Amino acid sequence: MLFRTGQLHRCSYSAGVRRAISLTAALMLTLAMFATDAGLAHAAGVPSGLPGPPPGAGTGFPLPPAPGQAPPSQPPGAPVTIPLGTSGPGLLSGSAGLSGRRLNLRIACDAGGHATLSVPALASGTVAQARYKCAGGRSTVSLPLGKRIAQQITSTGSVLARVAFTQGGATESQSVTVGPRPPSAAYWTSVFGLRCGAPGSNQADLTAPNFTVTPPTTIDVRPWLAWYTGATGWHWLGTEGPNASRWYRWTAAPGGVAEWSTPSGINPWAWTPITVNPGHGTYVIAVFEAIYWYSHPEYVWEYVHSGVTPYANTTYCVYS
Amino acid sequence: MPTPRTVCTASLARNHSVAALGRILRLAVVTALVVAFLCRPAAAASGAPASLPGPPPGAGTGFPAAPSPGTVPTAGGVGPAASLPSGVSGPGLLSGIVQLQGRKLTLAIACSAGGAVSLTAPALHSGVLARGGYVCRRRRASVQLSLSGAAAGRLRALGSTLASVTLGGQHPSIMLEASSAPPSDWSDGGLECSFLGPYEPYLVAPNFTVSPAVVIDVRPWVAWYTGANGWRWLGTSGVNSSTWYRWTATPTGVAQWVTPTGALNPWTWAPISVSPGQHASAIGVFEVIYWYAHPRYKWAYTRSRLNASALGAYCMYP
Repeated sequence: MLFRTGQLHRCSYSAGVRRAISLTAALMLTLAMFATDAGLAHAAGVPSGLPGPPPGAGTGFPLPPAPGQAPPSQPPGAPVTIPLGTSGPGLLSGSAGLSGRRLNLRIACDAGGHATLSVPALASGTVAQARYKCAGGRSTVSLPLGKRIAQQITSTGSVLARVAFTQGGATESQSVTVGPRPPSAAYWTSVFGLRCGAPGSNQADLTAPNFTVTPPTTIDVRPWLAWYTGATGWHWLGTEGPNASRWYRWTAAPGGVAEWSTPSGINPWAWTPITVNPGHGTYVIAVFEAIYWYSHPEYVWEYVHSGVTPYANTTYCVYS
Repeated sequence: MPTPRTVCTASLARNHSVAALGRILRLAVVTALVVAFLCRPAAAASGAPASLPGPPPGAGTGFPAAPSPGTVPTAGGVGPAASLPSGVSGPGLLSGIVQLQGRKLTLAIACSAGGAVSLTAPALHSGVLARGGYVCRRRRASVQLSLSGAAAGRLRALGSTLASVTLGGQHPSIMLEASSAPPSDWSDGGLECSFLGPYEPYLVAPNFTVSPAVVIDVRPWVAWYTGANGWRWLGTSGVNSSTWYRWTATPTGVAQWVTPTGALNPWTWAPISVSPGQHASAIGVFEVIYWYAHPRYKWAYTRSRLNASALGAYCMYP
């Protein structure tokens, strides 16, 4: 009865009633504080998982190089600021394991919506879809898979998938790796990577791994930054803006990228400065996709290490 | 296909008893099932190819002039963007490999109407070697051609030879064989089935190696098969037409494909688009002329890369 305030207005305000109103207000305030605390707990936390594959991973490849043609010179990445305003939900982790025949994706959100899952390597079209509700800035999208596709995912081990979130008339696609268990993260082996706090304290610079391979082969490389806040989940920034990056073409050789070699040492591709606006609790990690144009091409995507120095590796650059 | 009269049950039912109506309905159902059975697409029309496509159009002919003294080829460009045509007309071969049985050869054809076939094989006989006609039933026909004793004996002596058939105004090449022989594949290169996209194959040339180094001319093809049309050919100049590309084959591969930084960038033909729903199978073929003092000609298939770890004969596009 304490919560039926509409009726209380029609009564005289006796002392008992005032006590009841006070109690009601206190209770509601407490509940609101708990709710807010829950939201803040999300917002302040470290990422629960890595961002997974970049947008459009495994697709949108350039055409193979022309016969005998050396790559043209490539521009460095232009200065950029992490755009903290986002549209659509963000994944809390970009890799997911099957739970029975369900795929559960945790997301940061500000409204409910609809999600569809496709696994182009295994099936054409949508393989699962689900509606989700958003509460406290979080939701778990539970996608029911058919028996056959679940078996295929299990037998494949790990496969690239794409999830499209439709929320308020807008659709945003994100890549995710799925498997019988969340796949383990793979990192490029290189002293290069994401250098935190450089050149300024709220900045970073990204240096591409020195791709080595025998025999030499032309490679196409696509760089990405994934950034996370508790409020937004993981989102992606490429050298052409949010969710868009370009391919850079070089020659990977046994001694590293041929085009980066200079008489005075190696001069790798760099993307700097990457500026992060303070006050959001932002985590940043970089990813590189690469195509090795052997006679039979190979595609790989992996994270690069982050750190304040090349040898002090951490998973992320963190900006409070 | 005319509509079976028995489907007009509404007008008949007005003049008959319920029992009679039941009999008529049963008859109608049976008739419709029979009509549906007879009119069903040939089972083979949606299947995978039963046999390889054989040699490309004009195989062993249409050679370019020999290179002039001291010629050094350039790397040249890639193959142009292309699409496998979804609409083709006229009959097509179901196999480009035909084996001799006694003195007879049997051609299997995908067709929409009957027609005539003539066969020429310059190594066996000058002029037309054999003629035949066929009737088309359920999009399939079979033509049996009889060789003379001398021509059959010559084929047995050679083991195999290139031939050409005149079929519906086209002249597909075939390989005549005295006995079954395994297909010849280039050891590398091939058709990448889906790296660029699920319906976007591309062709990579084999890295031709030979000792001593020699100028080569190479003509690339993609053969594609549908159950309705049999095998058809796409070259870099269009359907049934391709271009010769000139390079230098060396003991370590094609000289012009090595970049200044040491990478090997072979010739490619990309992208080749396939329309979904064709149920097409595709395979790559390369013809090569080695310009030794006595030039040598060879054609062979390439293997198809089905995915990151599997090779197969064909790329398949449902």
